[in-house]
Amino acid sequence: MIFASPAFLAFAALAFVAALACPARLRWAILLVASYAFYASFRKPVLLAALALVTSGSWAVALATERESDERRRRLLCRLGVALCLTALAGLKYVGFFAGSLNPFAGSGALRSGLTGPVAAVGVSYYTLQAIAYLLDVRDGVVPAERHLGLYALNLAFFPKLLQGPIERAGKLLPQLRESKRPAAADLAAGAQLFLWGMFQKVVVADRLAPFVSAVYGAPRHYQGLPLVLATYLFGAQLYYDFAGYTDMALGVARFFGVRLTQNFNVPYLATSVADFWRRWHISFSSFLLDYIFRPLQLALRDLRTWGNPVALLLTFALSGLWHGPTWSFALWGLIHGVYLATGALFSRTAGRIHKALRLEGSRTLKALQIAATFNLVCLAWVFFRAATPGDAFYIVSRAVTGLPRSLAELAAGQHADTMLFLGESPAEAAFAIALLIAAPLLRGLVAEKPREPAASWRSAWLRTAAYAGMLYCAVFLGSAAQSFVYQQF
Amino acid sequence: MISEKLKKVILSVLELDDWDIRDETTAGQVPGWDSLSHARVISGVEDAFGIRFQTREIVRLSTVGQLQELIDQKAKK
Amino acid sequence: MNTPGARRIARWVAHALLFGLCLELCARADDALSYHAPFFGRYSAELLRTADEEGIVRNQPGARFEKWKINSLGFRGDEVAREKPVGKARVMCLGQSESFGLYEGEGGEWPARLGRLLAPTQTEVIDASVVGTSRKTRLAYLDKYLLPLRPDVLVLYLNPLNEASSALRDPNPDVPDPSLRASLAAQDRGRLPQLRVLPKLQQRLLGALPVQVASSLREWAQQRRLRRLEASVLKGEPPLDLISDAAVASFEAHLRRVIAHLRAVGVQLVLVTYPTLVHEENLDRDRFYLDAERTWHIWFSERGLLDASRRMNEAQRRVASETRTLLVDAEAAVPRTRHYFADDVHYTDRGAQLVAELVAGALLSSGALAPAQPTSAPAARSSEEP
Repeated sequence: MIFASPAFLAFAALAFVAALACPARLRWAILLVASYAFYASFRKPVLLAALALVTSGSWAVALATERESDERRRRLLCRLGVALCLTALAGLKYVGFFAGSLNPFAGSGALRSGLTGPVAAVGVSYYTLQAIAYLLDVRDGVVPAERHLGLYALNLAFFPKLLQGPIERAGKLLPQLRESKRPAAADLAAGAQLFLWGMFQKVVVADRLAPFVSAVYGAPRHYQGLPLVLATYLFGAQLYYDFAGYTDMALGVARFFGVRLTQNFNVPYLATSVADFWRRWHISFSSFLLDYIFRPLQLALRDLRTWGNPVALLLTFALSGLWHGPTWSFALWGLIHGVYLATGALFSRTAGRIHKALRLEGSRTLKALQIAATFNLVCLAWVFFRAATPGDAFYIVSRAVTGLPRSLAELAAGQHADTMLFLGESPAEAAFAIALLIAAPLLRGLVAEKPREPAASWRSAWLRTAAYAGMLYCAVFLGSAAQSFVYQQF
Repeated sequence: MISEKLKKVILSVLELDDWDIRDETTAGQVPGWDSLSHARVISGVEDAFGIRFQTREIVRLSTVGQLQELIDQKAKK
Repeated sequence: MNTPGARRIARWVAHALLFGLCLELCARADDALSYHAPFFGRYSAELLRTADEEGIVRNQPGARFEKWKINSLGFRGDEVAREKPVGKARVMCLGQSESFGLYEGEGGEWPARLGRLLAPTQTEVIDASVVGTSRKTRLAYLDKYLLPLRPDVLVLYLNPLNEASSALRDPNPDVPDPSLRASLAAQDRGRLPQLRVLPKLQQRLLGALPVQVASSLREWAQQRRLRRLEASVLKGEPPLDLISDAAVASFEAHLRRVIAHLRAVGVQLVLVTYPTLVHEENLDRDRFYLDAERTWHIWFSERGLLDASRRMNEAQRRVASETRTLLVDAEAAVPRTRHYFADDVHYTDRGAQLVAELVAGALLSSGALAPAQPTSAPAARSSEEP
């Protein structure tokens, strides 16, 4: 079931009513059944089996680890548990990859064919990371092992976050599930607003940008110069609204059950450096990387002095690329970010001194330049993320730059405007897309949960109601219905 | 009680002139002490006190006070 | 009344109203941007039709509603010049909603397709159909709006059910009612402003339901509508199972009058028999569509509708053969399946294409498309085309 579908809304409503109707101590059971039923709706028994296996395995290992006092045995048990999770992850993703390549609809690269390819192993990447984080937290004494199997299973399988995260930490989610408090009226209102805003981002903005991107990335060799550049920027926007939209919908649905999940995004394209970007993009994933991969790696490599950080960053982000998919493109994408971050780490002090010397330190000009530079670096990396093969990616990167003068000249002469500017879609579609790209950040400013000055709050309340009505209308009538989320295939 | 030595090491690694570092201070509260400089601080402490930490010991630390305790434990051995 | 609780409720209600109002404004803006619909004021298919001061029903020139556009002469389709182009034959198609086009895509109605099929032969095809008309205004409409354009050929696609229904209770079945315009205007004034967002929402909801649930709902709603119509219109009288001989005879007489009238002014007439989806053999399978048709002709029962269309079509064939008028027997030729019919009487794109091909075939093989000289009488042609 996709989130923005009538079937899901009906299901969520049913689960909501059932959860409210039953006594608090049984609520976990209702939610657990609902979550497994939700997972079952994808009609892939192997997914359910894997979830059950990882759940029971990590639960048992965590309990055993906590009971064990010998340090070496603890580490061994923990490694066993992590290995189980990684096996499930690798097995499903590699199996999914091969099964997909036998699928007639697959095209080039099952996990990525036009972003609408078969959804192979949905959810696995996310809950396995969550289980690994839990095991490591138990080993390090950060969190006590959970005795209640049902609660622990719900912690992994909770349906709002099952498909694409956020990757929750046991320390934050388990207490909420244990408490299972009734949602207050404010929770319901906030949940509805979040869901609506998320649906608008995903179904209206992201899905409307998708055809422009697929037109170019589906056949990149037909284009050069301006269309390649535009399509890449549009992809950056599409991916953000797709994933942020999903996240907001997930947060909204969870709110209906009185659960607060962690926010995954914080205006990432306003980041002033790639390091800052990763503190604002897919936050639950990057903090997993930070705490469980980078930190240990960094400490292990600390004897390399100044080279320790860069190497640790490179390795961490190369791994993160692979997590997204077993293809060279994703690995390259991760590696590129690793290079960005390593370079940043190596030269941050030099850069600071240059800023001071040019007297730009703390100025708005510097900030603007940094934001622009970061955005472009990130979009450059997105080329590898989206292109079907590394070959295509290199073609796009090189031809986007070398072909730019000629394509601009052609455009100025009035030729090929339909392919270059509108990327094959009608001017009306392009106009609507532009309107959405302008409206969306403004709307975000309006609906973001931090209220503005109290004095203006009544005015903004009316404006918000009007904005939500507009978003509902667009999402129901002007969206594109049945595309699944980009990040769902990871 | 935070020793003067530990305080000096932290300030020198982070290139700070002075900062109020106490038992309950966390890394986030000290300017410049982020995930990237964390390893440098740890290395600096190890060099200054002539000890060696294990990764799992570091991960469990949350305040400077706990770091001091860890140093004291290691120095005793 | 001014307690905080009451104030909160009042605020909630105000927000709910604002929410609804904004939804409605979005719907109107959507219509305005997609179809150039008026932002304020009514927006429905009724915009397309009008009655003139004599009570003749025609299309409103220049009107637009969703995919339907009426040109300045009052016909659906592209602009045509009043003057007949030199060297081209002019074919006009006169029918009701089946010919005006309902479910087909833009330019998918059969007269438009006929125009494209006949394009190589230097023929102009004009779709002069008006939804929901019948013999009441037919001759007057022909005289006032069609004949002045000097068509060479007129393709007449009558809806026999309309003919039968309109003649049932009307003492003057062939004379337009001049008070029609005023009474329509009065009806308009009496209507409340419509919410545009509600029908859209309804459609979306129906589309979101699983197929079986949606179709059961539709059937239930339809049966309810039929009961209501029977109660209010028939008032206890049973619907007719058979069409009366008098009704068929009256129709035949009207048909002969039209033929004679057109012959007198030198217009070649082509009659088209009327295909329907539902017949005896598929009544059980497609009963839903026949019942839907009944809501427009509530005086007839299901059997009555089948009887009426059968006998009226026979009458057309009889008259065509006796008057040696060119006949396209579409009723025998169009397969009675949902591939061709979107409901009992309207076409899918495929059905419209088939009808256009049948008419084109008849016109081409009969040689009717040679542009007639203004003074010579047309040679009488009589080939009956199956």
